[in-house]
Amino acid sequence: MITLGVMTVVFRNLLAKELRQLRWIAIIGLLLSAGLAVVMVAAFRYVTQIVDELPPELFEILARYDAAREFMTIFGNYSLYVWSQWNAKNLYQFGSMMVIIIAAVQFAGEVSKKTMGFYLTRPITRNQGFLAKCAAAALLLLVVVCGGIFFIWLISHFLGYSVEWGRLVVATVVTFTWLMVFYLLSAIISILSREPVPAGVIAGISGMALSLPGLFAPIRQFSIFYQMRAIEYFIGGQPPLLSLAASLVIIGLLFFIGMHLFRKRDF
Amino acid sequence: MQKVNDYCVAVKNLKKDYGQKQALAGITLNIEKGEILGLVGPNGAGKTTFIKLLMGLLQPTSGSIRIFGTDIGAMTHKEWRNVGYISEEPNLYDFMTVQEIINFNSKFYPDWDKDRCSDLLAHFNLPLNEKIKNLSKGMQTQLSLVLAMVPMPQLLILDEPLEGLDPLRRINFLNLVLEDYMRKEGRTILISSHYLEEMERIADRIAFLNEGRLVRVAPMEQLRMEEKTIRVVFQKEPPVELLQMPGIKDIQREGTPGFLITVEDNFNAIFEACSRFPHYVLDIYHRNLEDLFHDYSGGDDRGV
Repeated sequence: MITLGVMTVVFRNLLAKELRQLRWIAIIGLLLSAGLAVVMVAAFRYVTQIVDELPPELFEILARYDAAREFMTIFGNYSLYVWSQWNAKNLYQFGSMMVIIIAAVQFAGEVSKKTMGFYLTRPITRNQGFLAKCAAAALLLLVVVCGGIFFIWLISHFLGYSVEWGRLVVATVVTFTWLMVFYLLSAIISILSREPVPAGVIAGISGMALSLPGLFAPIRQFSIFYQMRAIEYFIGGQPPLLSLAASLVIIGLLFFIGMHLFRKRDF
Repeated sequence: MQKVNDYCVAVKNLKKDYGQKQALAGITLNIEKGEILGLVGPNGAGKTTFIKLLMGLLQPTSGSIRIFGTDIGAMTHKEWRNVGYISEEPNLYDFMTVQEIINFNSKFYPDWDKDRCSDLLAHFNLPLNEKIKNLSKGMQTQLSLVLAMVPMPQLLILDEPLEGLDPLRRINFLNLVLEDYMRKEGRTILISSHYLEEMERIADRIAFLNEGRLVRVAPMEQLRMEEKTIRVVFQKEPPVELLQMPGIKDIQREGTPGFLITVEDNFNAIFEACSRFPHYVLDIYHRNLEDLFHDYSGGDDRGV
């Protein structure tokens, strides 16, 4: 009978190995989110200066166009600007790229490098192996997401801007859970592949396919990328409970499908 | 008669298909506790598939595998800790150093013996701080052996472990396995290799695998004693019964009435029957594992 203590040591060991293996993705992700935070906050300063210097006649002309009105609304509210550039653009875009790469490296990458044979012939169950990989991906994504928020806070604080942190954090939680949905989908594709590059490409194409409903207003809620942006919460003011609940249900479903496939797969 | 649970490994009617291709066609094989079983066969015979099935890396199409009497699907962590494995290709994490992979591996074994590990590393002269990607294939195999042997598992499964080792390292490797690992009672080894000379030296039993089928399983001693070729030139045509005696595997005519009789069993009786019949020439040719390999792989020398 295996003790809980041994199980914990084994799981921690597997988790540490995963994090070690993915350390460069984490470092690059953190640097990227820091860079994006700097550019984003700095851009606000310069764009608002430009907007302030526009002649009033030009304002009147621009106000006739929706896109221009939207642009001016965003640049008139720093919190809205941060959300529009972070959650609704940069975070979900580079977060999606990150989860595709992580999933491709973790499963198909290990098969391609033959290390999966070593990994699975340690005295562990495949369920433990799968859980450790998912936990490492979630942890890594969390570090990068929190790192991004931290850098935004730091630079905003330094430049004297204030943000509605509560709303931004809630929106980021929504983005994170939907990124986990996309990670698990990419992980399933990676489990079924033997090479990381095709696994990543197929995951990318699947992501594009899943974004298609976002192009059509009546069904845009069915796009995972639309959900990642938390637009109905941040702009519409609706509590994100339904979006969060849906993402958690899908996470549970994809997790068990992934675990089942990982358990049954030939390596 | 032994029960299934008495064997270290009991495999029954094991089949594995890859789509339309049948890789293993119903293997039944038992490995006794304390023996060294050599698995030989040409490339593509199904040796690695068989070993991967034992290690749970592949799912069988049908059939059962029991290790220590337990179906491998129901084996506990503790039972798996008693199985050591070296794959045919180096499969260690190349981003780790030797020390790091030892630390990683040791945490799966609560009784990991650090002193023994240090002794084995020193034996192979493996540098602790070197990254695995900088080690030669031979050194990676030696490191795999260290990782597999430190916990002193009851069963050691070695898939082509001698590939990539120079002759000196091969001898060193096998000596360590024989003198260090097998000195403890009840230790069992399943080894596949193309190095037939070495297999002949270490294996207690040999299993010949060809095209996914087990074509012969016999003790090494029996192969040495019974597997021979008799060259005989009789003075007249011998009786049919002589040429149909049990144990004769193959007969080739060498003119009339000369014969090359390949024997796989019952050698003494066959030789005596030949010697009793009037003859001009009667010689015995001893056959080594390489000759037998050619026989059982249908003359195919893909793997040699």
